[in-house]
Amino acid sequence: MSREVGILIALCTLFLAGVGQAAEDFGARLGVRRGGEVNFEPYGSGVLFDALDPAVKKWYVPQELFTEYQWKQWEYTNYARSPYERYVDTAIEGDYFYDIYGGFLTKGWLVFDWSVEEPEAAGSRLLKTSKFSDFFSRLVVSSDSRGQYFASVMVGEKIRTTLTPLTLSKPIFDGIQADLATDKYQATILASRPSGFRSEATTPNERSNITNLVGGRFVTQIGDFVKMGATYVNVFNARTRGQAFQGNPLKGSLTEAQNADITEIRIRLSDDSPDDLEGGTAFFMEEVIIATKDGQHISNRRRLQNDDGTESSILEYRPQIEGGFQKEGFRTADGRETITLRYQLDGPEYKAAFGPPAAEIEKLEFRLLLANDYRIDITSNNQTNSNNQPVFLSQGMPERTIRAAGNVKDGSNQNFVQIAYGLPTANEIFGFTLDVQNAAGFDLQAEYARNRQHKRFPRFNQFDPTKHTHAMEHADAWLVNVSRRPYPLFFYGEAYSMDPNYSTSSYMVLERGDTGPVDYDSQTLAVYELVDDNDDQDREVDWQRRGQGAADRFVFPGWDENNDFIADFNQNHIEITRPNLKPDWEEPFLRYNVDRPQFLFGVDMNNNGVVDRFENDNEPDYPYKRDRRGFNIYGGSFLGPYARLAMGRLEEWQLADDRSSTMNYALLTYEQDFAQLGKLRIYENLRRVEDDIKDNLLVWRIADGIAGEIVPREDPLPARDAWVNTVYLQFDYGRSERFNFISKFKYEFFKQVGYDDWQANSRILPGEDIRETSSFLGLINKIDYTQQIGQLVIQPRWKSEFHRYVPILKEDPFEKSTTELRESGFLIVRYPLLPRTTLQAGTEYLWTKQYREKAKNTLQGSPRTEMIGALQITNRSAYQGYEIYTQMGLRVSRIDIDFLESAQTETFLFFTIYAGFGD
Amino acid sequence: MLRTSITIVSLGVLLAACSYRPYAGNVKPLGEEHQAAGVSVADDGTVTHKQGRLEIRLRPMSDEELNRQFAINSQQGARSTNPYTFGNSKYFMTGETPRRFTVFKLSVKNYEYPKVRLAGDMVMASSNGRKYYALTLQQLDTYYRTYAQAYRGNEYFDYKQRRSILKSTSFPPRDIFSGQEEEGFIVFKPLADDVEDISVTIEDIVVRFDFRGEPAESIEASFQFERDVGVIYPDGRIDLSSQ
Repeated sequence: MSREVGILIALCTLFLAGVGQAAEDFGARLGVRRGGEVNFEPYGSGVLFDALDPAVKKWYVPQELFTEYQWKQWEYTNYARSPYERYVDTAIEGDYFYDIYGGFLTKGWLVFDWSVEEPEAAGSRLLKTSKFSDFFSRLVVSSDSRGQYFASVMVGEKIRTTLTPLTLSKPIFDGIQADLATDKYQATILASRPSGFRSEATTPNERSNITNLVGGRFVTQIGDFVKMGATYVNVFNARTRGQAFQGNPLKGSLTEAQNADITEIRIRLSDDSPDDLEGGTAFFMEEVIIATKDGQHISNRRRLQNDDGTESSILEYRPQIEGGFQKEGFRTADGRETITLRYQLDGPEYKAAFGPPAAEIEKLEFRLLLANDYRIDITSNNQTNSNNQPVFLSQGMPERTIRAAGNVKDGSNQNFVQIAYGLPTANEIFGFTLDVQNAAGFDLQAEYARNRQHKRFPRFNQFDPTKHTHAMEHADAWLVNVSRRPYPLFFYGEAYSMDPNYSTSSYMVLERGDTGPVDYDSQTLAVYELVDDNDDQDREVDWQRRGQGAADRFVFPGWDENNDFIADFNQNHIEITRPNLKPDWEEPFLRYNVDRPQFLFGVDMNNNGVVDRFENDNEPDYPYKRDRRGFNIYGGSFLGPYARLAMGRLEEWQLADDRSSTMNYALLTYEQDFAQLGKLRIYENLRRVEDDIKDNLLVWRIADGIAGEIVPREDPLPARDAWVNTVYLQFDYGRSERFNFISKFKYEFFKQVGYDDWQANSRILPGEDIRETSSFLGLINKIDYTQQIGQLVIQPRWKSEFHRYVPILKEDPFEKSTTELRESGFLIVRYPLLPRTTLQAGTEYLWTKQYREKAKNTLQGSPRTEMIGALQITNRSAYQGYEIYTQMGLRVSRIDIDFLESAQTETFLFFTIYAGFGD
Repeated sequence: MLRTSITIVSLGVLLAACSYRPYAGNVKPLGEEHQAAGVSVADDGTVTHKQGRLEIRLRPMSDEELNRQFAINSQQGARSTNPYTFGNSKYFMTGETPRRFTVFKLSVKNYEYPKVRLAGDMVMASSNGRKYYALTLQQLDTYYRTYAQAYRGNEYFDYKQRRSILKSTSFPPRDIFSGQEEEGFIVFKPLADDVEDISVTIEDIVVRFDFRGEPAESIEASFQFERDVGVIYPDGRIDLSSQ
């Protein structure tokens, strides 16, 4: 016993001695060193041996800090000596973050977090905290490099991203872009969740049904001349309640809102070329084939073999057919007429025919015997808009329809068209590019892209979303450009094809609730574009789409050469801040320098009467338009150092219509700057055209009272069968310091061939009722002279403008025939009152004469005189780091228009201050 | 129609066979005998106008020199950000690199006057009647602004880089006090193909000021240069017009 007591006393002595000698235990607070590295992985709370104190009193100070706080349970607070300071935000230096292995990352702030968990409700979580915008202005870039290897990963909004113009080109891509570049290879990976990407909140945007985007491009250099690339993009709908790794997610899945039985199908047959009022859909017969989940295949026309080898019976059911004209053996829909086939799978006729219940159907297929120029649209009770009304896909995406090739009218194209019904779930595009540079003097760029439009058949009782029956449509696009330029000769050729149903648009899951409805007729809310419309190449997308903000209201391609985002023909207009409602070519004093846009010269390869460089449309910015196939070749030569002649031929035709364009053309340019005289420019463009392809546009219209607006312009087809010629001459005399002379001449005409025959034998639409000859003849002469007398600078100017314009259309809503002469004289004087203060005074007299009687009776065309006087004082001085421009003055105009009874007097007074940064 | 086309094409090819392009060499100074009195010409092409201990030097810069000076800004092809040249980009129709500007390096050493100010225009006049004025920073800024498409960050960075080079290397618009030296580039539009002899004049160099700081005495400096012009044929043969 005494021996045992002795051992116990010895152990206690040893233990107590140990306590006294042990260093403080910091637990995991200093991190844990493993393999030479310190980590701060979570270890949970530890056991504090040193704080073991068998007392009943509760501790109200942290026990793990007992060394600092001692064994006190409470502490009296007296702030007499040391004043109290307020609580500090616990997140003042951010939060603590750990990775999925438990490794401590950093103390800081969560900026962006996108995670997907399946199967789980609202499993797609996207969080962009306020730090994303406040700290990083909505763009965060990580990058790394070593030697030739460069990598970057960024997440952001409004990233200007282009893979290829056929697959993905967005001026404002929202998402993740990862790029890799080496000397030989380049790669890009894109990922995004367009559903709610722009949302910014303190809590995640959690969704069960979403639209995702994945894509990428890989480019490799082969040898010295060749670059090959592969591109893949897919926008697909997904839902997170399903099991992970079921099926192929890239084919997309139906959302929960779409996952309902199909009880009604409507097929609309119409005329693909309604304007000709003939040869529309000729409908002969239909067949519906129903596949059930237990392996039956039932047709309403014939017996089919079931999966178990037995033969099914014929379903005695016919759809309800509405519309069209009954002809012998078929029903037809010409012009605006339509035929609708209605299959009601819960209707009494269907039930009476013992058709399988809607809940049992896992696939519906239709075979339609059609001829002529048909167009097929299909919808169902699940394919609806926001009002739950069935709508066609083409109402949201015009290309999502089935069209007959060409415009056959004799029934020779009679065939069965097979359609497997489904709701769109994914839009996938893959393609290849080839870029050859200077191989034997040739340059070649080529691209091929295949578009696969995935769809699935909805069925309520199918819980695995990837097992809904899948079907697919596809479309192709390709282009080849070849050039060789051995000076002085040059050659260029291009060939291309874009299927009419090639689509880079995808239906996007909406955020109305969490079931993922899709409004199929809403372009602005439910369509996501891979190739955006941005004709002016600015940062605003020209059309309105979900998550991209409003459509660009200021689209004037080619009219902003100074890149100030203001149209060059209304340069002194600033939207809202300082609007100006007169085009510069009509505005007093400015109209000396600015000439009306009709004097511009440029190439018009699509023969719609508008120079291509200034065109704006409402289509994705593909290199070539959809539903076109063709080629264009030209060759030519420099004719000495100042002239160039090119001749070529263009052939283009529409795939889903019987329209084509053929053009032979010659383009001569001559530009020489004579030392003693000035610069002479001559352009001549002669074309022989047969073009009936419509190239409708949106044009930027500036007119008196309109600062600028986008208006649609229908292609009047001014060169159906015509000679077109444009000649432009300009001479700028600039050799004298004081004397300037500019002369411009332009003559353009569209002269129709066989006009009388066409008028007599065609049905002419109002928008295509063109003149036999339309033309623009313009001549401008401008002279100004600057004379300085002491400090006084005097500048007299004179401008003479003659223009005779006969518009293409006989009845044009905006343009009228006119033959007008304008003479205007200006006198502007400038006198420096003080070193930084200048006085400017000017007067202008405008006189116009109208030679066309009809135009005399319009406000725009009526002869008139204008007398304008203006005075302006400008002070320019430095103030608080800015260059301050203070202007004050007035302008008084007296306008006497023959058409109006009395003369008008206009005044404009102003006192304005501008602050700039100086030169 | 076909026959007409063939005729036109044949005519074009025939004309193309005798096609040539203008050729222009680099600007170089004329000999001292052609310069004004008191103007010396150094071996490196610098022309120096001396007035007492005020030296005004002008040296024509070739594109090659400018590309070497801003080497990292001159090797990105069409994305080169050298504001004085097109870098190593080529015009797609001819495969040549055109001249963007005519650039001179201007140096002023003032060891003579209390203050010197270059208040006037710098004018380049050719013997065949052409006249070019030095471009201001504002002109160059406006010119390069159009390259910043949509003001995307990348293009805007290039724009800023060009502006930064221009601001830091163009001749500074400030007074040169006694004992100070200033140096920088002055930029003109590219010379026309037919310009052979040029005279660069720096007008209104103010060397004395009155009690209000207003100019009281000004001088003018003129420098004479020339370059080879002629034609270059597709086979590379050059015919100089002076030969």
